[in-house]
Amino acid sequence: MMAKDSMLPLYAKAVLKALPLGTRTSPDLPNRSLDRSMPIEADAYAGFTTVIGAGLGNTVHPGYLHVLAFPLSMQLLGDPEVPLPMMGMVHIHNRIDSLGAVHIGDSVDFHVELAGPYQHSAGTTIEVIVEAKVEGALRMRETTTYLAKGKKLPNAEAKPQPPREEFTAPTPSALWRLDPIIGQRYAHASGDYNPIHLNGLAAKGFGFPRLIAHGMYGASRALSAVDTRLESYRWDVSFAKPVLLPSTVGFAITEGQRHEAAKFAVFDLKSGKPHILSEVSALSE
Amino acid sequence: MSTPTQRAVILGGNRIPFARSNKQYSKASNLDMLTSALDGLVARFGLAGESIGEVAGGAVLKHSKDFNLTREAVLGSALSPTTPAFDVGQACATGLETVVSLNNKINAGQLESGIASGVDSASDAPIVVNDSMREILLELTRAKTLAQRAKIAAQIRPAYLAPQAPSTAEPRTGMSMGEHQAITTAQWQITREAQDELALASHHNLARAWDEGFFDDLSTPYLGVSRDTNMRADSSAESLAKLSPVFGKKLSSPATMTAGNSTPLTDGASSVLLGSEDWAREHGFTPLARLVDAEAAAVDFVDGAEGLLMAPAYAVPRLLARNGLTFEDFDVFEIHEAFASTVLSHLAAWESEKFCRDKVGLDGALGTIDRAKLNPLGSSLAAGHPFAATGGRIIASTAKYLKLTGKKRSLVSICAAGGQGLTAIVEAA
Repeated sequence: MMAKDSMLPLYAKAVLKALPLGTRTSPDLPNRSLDRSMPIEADAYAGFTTVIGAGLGNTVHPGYLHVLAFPLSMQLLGDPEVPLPMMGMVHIHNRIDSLGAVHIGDSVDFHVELAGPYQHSAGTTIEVIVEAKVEGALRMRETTTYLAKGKKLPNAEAKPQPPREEFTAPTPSALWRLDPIIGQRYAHASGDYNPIHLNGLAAKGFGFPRLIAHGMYGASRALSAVDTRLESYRWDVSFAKPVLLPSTVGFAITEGQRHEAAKFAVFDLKSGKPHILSEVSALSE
Repeated sequence: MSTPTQRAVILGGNRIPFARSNKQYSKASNLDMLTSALDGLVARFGLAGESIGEVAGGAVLKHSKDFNLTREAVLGSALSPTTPAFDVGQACATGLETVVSLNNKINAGQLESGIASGVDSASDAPIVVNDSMREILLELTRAKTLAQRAKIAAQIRPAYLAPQAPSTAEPRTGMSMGEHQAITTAQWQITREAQDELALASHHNLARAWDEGFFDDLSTPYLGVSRDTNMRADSSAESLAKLSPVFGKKLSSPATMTAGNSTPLTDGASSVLLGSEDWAREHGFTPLARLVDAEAAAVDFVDGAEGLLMAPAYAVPRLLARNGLTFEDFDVFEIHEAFASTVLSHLAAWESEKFCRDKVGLDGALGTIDRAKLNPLGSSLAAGHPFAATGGRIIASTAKYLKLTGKKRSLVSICAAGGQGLTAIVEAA
């Protein structure tokens, strides 16, 4: 039920890097990538599905592929030659193209590399590109966008930002009652022990009033609720305001319908402001 | 004369009076209450020591130890221990489904007699540890060495020790039934006044039936309770109007659902005796009525495409069409009052040409129900609603009502969690 790699040493390294200990050598990203093969083990996968409230079937939730590749992403981002501090980077967008089912028992070959830095109105972004293959066939391609807020790099490439969508909160079709231990539970299942999800003081240290839920917890749970039956699809997630713990948030499909292409959202019940805006669309090959 | 496939008849029933949860029956388990309801029936019909074809029963809030609840109740009752039993689960339709399935088994010639039953306790409800604690405890049972156990036990955090209280929330939406119904209520623009009026009629009708002794041969006092404790004979429009809304407070339209026009959590049990005509004759029992047909429906409520409790609005038109009947052919309408607005939403849907045409596929509106024929003995708003016991309460009451009044036909409709509904036609025997 626990992910194999603990991320604690990586976070420790990241914290060290955040300290002002001399200047970095270059504003460019180091040209490195990581490859690793990982089997999909039923027990570990069940830990993930239980926490996000998904059914345990033979087909793997794409959010779990993100989880498996996450330590590799952090290893690349934590590289001392990356010109931006990993701690404090904000996961603002996630795109997964799911090109075919990955199953329990498959051995997945991950290839992970960084792209950027890119200009952003609020700072600079770096992207983590993950490719997952099973027996040579590409099954998933993921782009995870991290924002270093307020940090500008002279050499950052221009990149069009997706327009900010207007959002009016609909009547929720489901309520998610999130207790504070959801952070611990998702940390156990995913191996992401970022202290802002585990410790109120740490969260305060990074400017949040309370603990916050893992972004990919809410995103993965929302995808399960939509329960798409498309064979190959694009799953986009934009993270707006973080979900503070404990809290009760609303979920609703705003366009399209369950099992098919759809837009959906997780939002604050009082203010109506979005936490997560997401979309599943069909990919034609 | 009945056709060979219509040999089942309803002979009577027995329930314990229903009590609001955490009151008189707070220490009684589902098994205690179901056994009491069965024993009352056995005593009334002189069935002690008799082997009944089959007893069907169920509970919605069920402990895992009660996997064989109905069989255990039979073993604890005065029935012969050679009476087989089985458990049924269809949320609030459980009680009616036990009647339908035994009725069908008798019609199929598999059984000569049966007792349909249901029970629920919202007081003695199962409390479970939360998922984190449960995962750890299950891991502990799988661990082989002391070192493994110590490592797993070390994961326990104080927060994991908080138990998970039972809730009436839908698993897929996290919303309670009341929150779901509040959305439907707003969609159908059901007013507060209309809901309170229905609740008031329910209390007055039920109180009148108790006063007239209607339930004397349909109930057996239990733990000092001899009438349904939720019933307020002195309820008035003014007293109901004073209550504050409890559901739908976050919707844009005004909240209208109160504790007065919603059913409270209730404890209770009910049973219905069924038999073939031959079995009834041999035992000298007078048939009250027969269940001639039943229809279940389900709706996709998960994304809010349809209201959680609207399935009966779809089942009834199909049931009427199959039997070539219209509302005009019915003398009684027994529509379970989960909430006053649930009943009123169903009535509004059947009166809506748009709903009946676009959603049910009829040519026009199904029709209007004469309110004088609606729930003439009161229903769940007054009696309370121990989930799986409601079907048995309604079937036994309406069967006796048809016999007593010489009326011919009753329509029974029960909505259930999970977007389901079960409906039936009962005719005088």
